[in-house]
Amino acid sequence: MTSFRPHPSVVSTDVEDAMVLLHLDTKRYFTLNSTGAAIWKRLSQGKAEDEIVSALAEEYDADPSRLAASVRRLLEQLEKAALIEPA
Amino acid sequence: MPTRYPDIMPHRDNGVVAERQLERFMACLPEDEAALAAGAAEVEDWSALLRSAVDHGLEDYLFRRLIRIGAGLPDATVARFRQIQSRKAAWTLHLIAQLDRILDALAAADIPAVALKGPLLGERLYGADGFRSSSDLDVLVAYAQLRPALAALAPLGYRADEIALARALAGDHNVALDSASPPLELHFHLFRRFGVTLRSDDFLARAAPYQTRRGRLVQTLAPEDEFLFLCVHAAAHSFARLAWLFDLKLLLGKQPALDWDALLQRARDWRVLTSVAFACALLRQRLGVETPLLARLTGRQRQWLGVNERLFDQAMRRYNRPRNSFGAKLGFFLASQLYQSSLHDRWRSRARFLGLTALRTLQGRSLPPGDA
Repeated sequence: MTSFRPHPSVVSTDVEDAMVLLHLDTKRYFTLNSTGAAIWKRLSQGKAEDEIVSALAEEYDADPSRLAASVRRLLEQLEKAALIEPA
Repeated sequence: MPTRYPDIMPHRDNGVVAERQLERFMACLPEDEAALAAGAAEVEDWSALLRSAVDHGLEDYLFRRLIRIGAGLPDATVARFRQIQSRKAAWTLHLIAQLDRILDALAAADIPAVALKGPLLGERLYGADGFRSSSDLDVLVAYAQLRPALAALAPLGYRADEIALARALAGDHNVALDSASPPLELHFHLFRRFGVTLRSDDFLARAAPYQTRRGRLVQTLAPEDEFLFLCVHAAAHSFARLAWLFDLKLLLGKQPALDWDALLQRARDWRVLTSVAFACALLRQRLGVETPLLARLTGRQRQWLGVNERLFDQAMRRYNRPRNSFGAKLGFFLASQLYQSSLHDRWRSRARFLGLTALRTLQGRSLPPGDA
């Protein structure tokens, strides 16, 4: 399973429960909801995909397989938007 | 995202209901949520309130709070607010990242610099309660360091041609550098208007360190200097944005031990007491904030403050009426120039301003800020 980290040109800020990411090179910005923000924070802490899933499953008391699918989907979107890169 | 200052002159007689509501709400904040909730129950046009709050740079602070207290906003208004909020958050990130680069470049060239207004003021005053509206960055350096600072900033794309530079040095307090984004106003004086120049050296010497959320140590104005600067800046822009008064309100909340005697003395010494006192008077009138400075004014200064208020009222009334006829335009022009002149501390300076304005008007040219 690939580990990812935030792209060095991406900066982020909390906006209440959500999070806004800005890619400083492309000047494009993205808004993450509270779950996306929780995933992003763990990515920023250097957590691998499976660690993120376990942590969120514990925190939200959610079904790990559904959570894993959600995390995978978001990571694909983030990678496509060049917001993250392989660690 | 960069915008010019809004062409609005908020005034209690301008007939815009949303603006009066906005004022009442901002007068409640940050502490009185019960009054905010009571006021929110009377709002009929949320879209108009949001528009007004955007115009005045206060939508993020206000609407976050309204949503948090369960004010019952329509879904469409919340959705629109969230769009605006995300864009503003992204712009603030852009401002902060660029401010870091600018301060790095100046530090590498050994040029002391102070960050003015902008996202750092927002971080210090608004904290996690919202993003402050800023269309650009403002950085103060010593007059003698202007050219080295420009050289240090050139690799970031900030360039000023010699003509613009000469014009700025002759009549302004900053060089406007808009060849890179976000635009940067590089101040070589803190302020220049109302017939005076607030030279940078004293303010740089008194600057106070501030550690940002990201752990960076940045120099900011000393609290009394910051209050004074925010007052004269707002006065120079005719208090067009309520956010500028709200900044002052929050600053007072963060700095309860402000040295009012020192502030008064500096305002006198720099001959900006009239504009500072007028900002304090508007702070009381619009946001219900009392400042000890007003109580320290002499009888004559209070009388003059009354003149400021009457001239401001006259100018604003004329501004808010239709100005289609020549007479109406002339009436507004005269009232606004008299009001502007009344913000000067000295009679000689007021007369000079009016004389130059008359001359420049006849020549079809505008006054440089230094003469305003």
